[in-house]
Amino acid sequence: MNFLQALIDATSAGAVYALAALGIGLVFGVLRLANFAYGEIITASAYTLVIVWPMNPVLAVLGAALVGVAVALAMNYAVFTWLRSQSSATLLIASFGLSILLQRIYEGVFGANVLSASVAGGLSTSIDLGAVRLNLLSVVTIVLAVLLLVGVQLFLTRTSIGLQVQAASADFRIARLLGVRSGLVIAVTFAISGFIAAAVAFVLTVQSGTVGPSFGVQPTLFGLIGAVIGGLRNLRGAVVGGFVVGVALSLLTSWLPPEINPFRTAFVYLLVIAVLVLRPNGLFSAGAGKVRT
Amino acid sequence: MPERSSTPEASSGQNPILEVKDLTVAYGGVTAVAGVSFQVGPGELVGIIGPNGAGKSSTLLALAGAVRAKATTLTFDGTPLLGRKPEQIARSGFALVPEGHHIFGGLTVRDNLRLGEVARRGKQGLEATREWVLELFPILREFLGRQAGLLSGGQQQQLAIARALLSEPRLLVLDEPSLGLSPTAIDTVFDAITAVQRSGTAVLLVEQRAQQTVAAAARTHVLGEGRITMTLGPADATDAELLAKAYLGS
Repeated sequence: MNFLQALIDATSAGAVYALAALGIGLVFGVLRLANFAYGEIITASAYTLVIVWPMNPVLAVLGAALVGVAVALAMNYAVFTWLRSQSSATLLIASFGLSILLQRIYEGVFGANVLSASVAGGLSTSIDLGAVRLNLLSVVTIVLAVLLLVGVQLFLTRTSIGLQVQAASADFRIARLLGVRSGLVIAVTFAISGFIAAAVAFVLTVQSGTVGPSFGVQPTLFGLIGAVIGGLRNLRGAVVGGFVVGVALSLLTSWLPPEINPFRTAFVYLLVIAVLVLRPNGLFSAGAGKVRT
Repeated sequence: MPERSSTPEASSGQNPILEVKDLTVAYGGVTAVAGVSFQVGPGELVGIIGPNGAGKSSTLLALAGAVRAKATTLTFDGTPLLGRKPEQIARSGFALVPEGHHIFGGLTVRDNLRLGEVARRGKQGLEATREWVLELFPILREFLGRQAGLLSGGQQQQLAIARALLSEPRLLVLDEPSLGLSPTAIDTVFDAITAVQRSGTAVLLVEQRAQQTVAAAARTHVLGEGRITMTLGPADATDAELLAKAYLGS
């Protein structure tokens, strides 16, 4: 039964990184930007949750979503709109710079130490189902991830703007020649990725109850790694990659002997290296994509 | 300067829907188009032929706003095109079918067609346009739910043209639609282009198939090394020597 518990926890961890990979992969699709500053969107939402939750939980959740979307859009308009015609390498370096800048801003505003609050403390309880103890947060995380994944899928396939996002991801130049508004598509994509970042922030904040300036760095790193091994140019692949990384991390945490457990992330990186040696474009690569102009 | 002009420069009595004067396109220090001038009248079919590297695709991409260009005059329906974004130009009734199909292979045929509707000014008449387009390319009706990447080259070209037509353009611009197609598929595409022009839509057709283009177009400009070297009329379509000269130069 320990195995079943570990599997549920692993699925929950995988769901978080699958969401992070989805948020990163969506933006990469249209802009060819591997956004390292995605973590700072997560952090902004997490600060909102930790600060506002003790006053009003509903307002905290709404505020976190709003802040996630607003920070993502602000990033787009303040930085990436001006760099759209630049190479992916330029965008990547810009996102690094933005990430560091925002971390220093958070440090200046909220301090270098972590802020703490019990966010949705009720979700930390466990339910006994026979020999299995189900962590309520794990269940909520899985449900939240499924809802968001299905929601994004429906948006991409059932709405006109979603179809335009898909077209822009496949070939931005041709999409524009068809009348797809580049600015709108990119803004919508950033907004959705910001919303997803808020969901990731919610789960991680409930788990840890604390937030610091570099709160979002690790989930972004693992989400990005997941997206890369899944195939950044293939959104479904990116999500699966994120899920695999989360599951691997969780299972390694559960099963590795205590003396080598601290090195569990090294094993994940080994997995990444192995995948990239065998499949340089990722497990679910859809081939070379077209850059935006 | 054109060496020969068998037909008037534009349809008489009507303002041109597309007016191009001294269009120049350069990539870095290399000039791809060097002062090209021509017009397309409402409902006209105008051809541009020429060898590879003559500047045909660059001309079309410049018109569509996809590459930077200079010109004394560059207007579509009286509105300047220079400095406008590709999506703005597409939404003004200018539809470009670029060389090489460029359909979205991962999407269904239906979704590709839906993307063609993005540039429409409204939904009025949409159903009728959809029906007309599917009558023009009946094979697409059969494959609406199929992944577009699984279609043959000829079918993909039909899809690319159908997608462009769903925006209900006033000018349809085609860049080598026959490239890489079988003779049967080429006939289908040319039949469709003729039908589109007869429906009242102006067509600017860039092609390598000189004889077919010259025969179908009101006038055909021959492009060589970025300049118009000759302008031919439909009567010239049977003059094999002239067509050869048009391509190879004197």
